[in-house]
Amino acid sequence: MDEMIKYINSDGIVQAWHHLTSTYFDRNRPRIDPVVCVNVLTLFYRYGRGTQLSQTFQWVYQILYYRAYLDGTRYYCYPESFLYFLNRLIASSDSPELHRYLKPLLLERVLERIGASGDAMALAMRILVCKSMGIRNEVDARSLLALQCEDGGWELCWMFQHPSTKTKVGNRGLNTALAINAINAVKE
Amino acid sequence: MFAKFTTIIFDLGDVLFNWSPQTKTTISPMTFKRILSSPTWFEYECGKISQDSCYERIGNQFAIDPSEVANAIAQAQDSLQSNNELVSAIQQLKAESNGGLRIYAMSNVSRPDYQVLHTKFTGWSIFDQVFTSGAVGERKPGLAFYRHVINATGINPQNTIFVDDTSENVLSARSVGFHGIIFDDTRQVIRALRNLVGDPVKRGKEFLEMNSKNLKSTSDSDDAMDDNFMQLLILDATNNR
Repeated sequence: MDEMIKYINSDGIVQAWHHLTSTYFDRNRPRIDPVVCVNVLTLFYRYGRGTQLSQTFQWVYQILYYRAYLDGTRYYCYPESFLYFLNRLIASSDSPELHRYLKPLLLERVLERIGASGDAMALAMRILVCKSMGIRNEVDARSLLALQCEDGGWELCWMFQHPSTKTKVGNRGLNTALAINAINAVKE
Repeated sequence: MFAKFTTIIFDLGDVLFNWSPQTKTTISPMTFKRILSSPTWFEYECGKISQDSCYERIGNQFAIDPSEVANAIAQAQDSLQSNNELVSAIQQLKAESNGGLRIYAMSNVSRPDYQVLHTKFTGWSIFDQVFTSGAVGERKPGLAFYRHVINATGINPQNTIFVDDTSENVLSARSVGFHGIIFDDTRQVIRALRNLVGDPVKRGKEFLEMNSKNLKSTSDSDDAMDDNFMQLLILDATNNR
């Protein structure tokens, strides 16, 4: 974590590692991606060090506020990834800025996505965020149920994209695991 | 939204059986289809008129020799082929349900034509019962036919899936409480049936277990790739491995 803090840019925003080349923090390729910021924040909040990244937090909030994520981010293909990882961030700590400041806005933003088009992963993420907000999202669950494949899994959905080559990466196991959780979330 | 489906009703023509209106007679496929959707034909389907008088009246209405009508029908019957992919999927669903799934057929077909159809297929045992317009005296999309089937079987429409290639038949089915599926593509319909009849969570977990330790990530340029972030996310979602 101390190493990560060295990767804060002049705007105070923690910069990304490059997933697809597995060079995690590569100072030669400074990139910023909101989802990566959220995941770094999650780690910091979990260990009570969230305030060390207050400018990154503020930027993430602005992105949510202005819906800057609607066309996906640099590495993540669709808006729900951002919302899903934000939801994980909120669960990482009971810090008031997460629960009193960020959570009400996330609730608003996920509500306005209900019923929007999306693949199985996007739908599952949306349903799971709704569940955390106390909302039972039946609309998207109906669509998700129809997308189950004959082999019991859900079809491949792209999660990451390699920004320069535009190669997309996904994992059916992950889609399926999230879909199961989403359906259970609506069943309860 | 998690209704438990215990019954599926299938249409026969163009769902479980395919056939061709292309005959070696003077009747074009288009005229053939018009004959089959004429009021006279509907009366014949419901057993209100005999085969002979049906062919005769059709002959008059379409200015065709009645024997030519009979020929065309016979040739169309010869072209009948069962949709084996769908048949075996039904058998599988039935087997997996451990007796929890009843299968019915509900078809607009005259008595004489059903007798011929009966000889074209050996798998009739997949059906718990077959309802034909010829025997019931009512045809889809008339509600009386649906009500007859509901009363005769004692099924609860809300636990019943109805599959038919004609949207008006599906609409009527939905209006009496069935879950309607418009038949377009066999694989799509089989998938939809599995998703309605099966337990989604149980099936999903089976998929994960069957493929555990082999849930590689995929990219659109090369097939499989190793990454650890998605594996961690799977772990996060399943609390397993």
